[in-house]
Amino acid sequence: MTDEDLVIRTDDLTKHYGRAVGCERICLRVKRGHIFGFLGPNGAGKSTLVKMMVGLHAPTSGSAEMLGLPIGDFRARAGVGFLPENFRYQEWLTPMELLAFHGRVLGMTTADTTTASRDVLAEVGLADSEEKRLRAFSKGMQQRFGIACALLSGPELLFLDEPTSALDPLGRAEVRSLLLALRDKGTTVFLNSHLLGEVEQVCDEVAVVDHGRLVEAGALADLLAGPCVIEVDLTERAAGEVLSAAVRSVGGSVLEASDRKLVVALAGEERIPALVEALVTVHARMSRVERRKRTLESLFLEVTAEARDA
Amino acid sequence: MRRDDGLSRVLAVAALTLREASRRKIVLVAVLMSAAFLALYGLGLHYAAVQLLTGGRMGIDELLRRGAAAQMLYIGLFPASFIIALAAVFASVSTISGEVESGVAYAVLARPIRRSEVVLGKFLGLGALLVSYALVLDGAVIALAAWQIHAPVRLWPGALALMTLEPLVLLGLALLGSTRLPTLANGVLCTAAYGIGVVGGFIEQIGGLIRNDTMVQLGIVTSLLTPLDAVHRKALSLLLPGGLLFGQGTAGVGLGESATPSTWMMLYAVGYVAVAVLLATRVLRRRDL
Repeated sequence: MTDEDLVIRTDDLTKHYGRAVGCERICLRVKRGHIFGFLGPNGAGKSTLVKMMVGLHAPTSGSAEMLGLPIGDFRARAGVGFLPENFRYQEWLTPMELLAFHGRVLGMTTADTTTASRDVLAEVGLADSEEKRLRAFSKGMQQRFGIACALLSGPELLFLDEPTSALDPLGRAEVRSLLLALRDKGTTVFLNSHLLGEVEQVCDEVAVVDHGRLVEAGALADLLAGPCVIEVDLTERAAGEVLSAAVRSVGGSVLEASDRKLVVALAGEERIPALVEALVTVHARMSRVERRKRTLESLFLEVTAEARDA
Repeated sequence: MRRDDGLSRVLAVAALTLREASRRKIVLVAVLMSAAFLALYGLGLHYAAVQLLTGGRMGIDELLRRGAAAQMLYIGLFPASFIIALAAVFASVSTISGEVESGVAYAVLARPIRRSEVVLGKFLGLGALLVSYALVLDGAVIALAAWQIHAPVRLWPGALALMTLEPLVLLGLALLGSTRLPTLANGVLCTAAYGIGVVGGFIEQIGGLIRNDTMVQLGIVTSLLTPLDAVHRKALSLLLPGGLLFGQGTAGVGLGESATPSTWMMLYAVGYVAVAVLLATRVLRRRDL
């Protein structure tokens, strides 16, 4: 992986508030064009990290780069969109007026800002509300507007802190589709969310923090794959020793065994046909053979519990 | 196409600040209440004019008439200064702290904009508003007094310029406080600073009157902390001929050339505003939001 492939790189990024730890030696690599899920319990340090990245908090130590520039350089934020967790906007303005202000701050021309504003408002379903004052917006509409505001300049990197917290299920589905469409266009999305189901549906990579420390990181598919555990449902009772011998013959080990169920650990998925063949050979009658899947929730609970035990 | 233009960002923040004042009806209320104040003051002047302009004789009566007219002008300028000062405090105490407390600041400061540009933009926007307000309100009071009772005004452009400096001093202080203090605490700070400035002016002028150097020095030290009353007295000394006015400070007492602040004090007041804005940018730059 070359440096050009990375849009975020943090090395031992740390934030302390007096004696309290916000983030502790966080090392992250986020690849261009990926949706990166950043997970953790409440108060784990997720928002602290995002605030350091977008310049709202100064790191205590460590370093970080964003789009090739150090995060202390305000120009690094030129290609970045940000939806804060506690989103609030100048409620005495209309969406078009506020986007015009952001366009000026971004150095966009008036014509470009007007066109981009209409596009992003349409993208989040607010095309009909462009002349209403923001104070008339519901919380969900304000969150949609926040996403539109973050998208105004067509950012290369988008930080979204709990982007669907105020949305109904339909709105959440729309935002998921939007994120996938953005990824397809090459935008990198850094997604802070408590909603693990949503993260699982859209993210390519995830990292989990707890008490300010990084406890797990990697490609979502790899993390969810985990060890190869096979569940076998039996229609008839079988002799435990015979079944165990059959499992051992293909290099596996029995994790759980009951009258009607067998849970087996294998070296890899490619060993599943051999396992089935060995079980048939000993006359085991099976109704289901399935690889056990981890969910993001089970992974999350597992790694945060391990971190606490450690 | 994109430009990396700090001035453009500063002006964008200034324009947004002005628009906020307009949308939040600050301008409308200020205009209506100032119109009511000026109407009442003009009515008072109208009835005073009947006595001052038609009942006079030659000699000592002319001197008395000029003194009374100057006093009537002062009576208009004192509350005008008070109204402008309060407007400066109310308009600016929450300008940064309020946006941080509500979360409005996050989306803006995460943009490619320096925090110093935000502070400068806020100062320019609010400064333009307050300078305009001081010019209109103080200018209207002076014009009314000159027209209705022939108040003996002189050097009024310089006086008006100094009167616009008064709200800028409070704006600088409020902006600095707003970068660190919660809104209510900053409001208390700025209002108290205004009160201390007035009392300091009072002590200095009484000290000058009774020839008490300690009181004069105390007043000068107070002026260094909040040079509001000093600016006001200097403006009045430019506006009105010496010896006519019984009270030439916001404290309402004091007199004579000894109580007139120096030009150096005015330069100090300008520097005070500049340093306050610089400190505000420094404090905000170092703050975690």
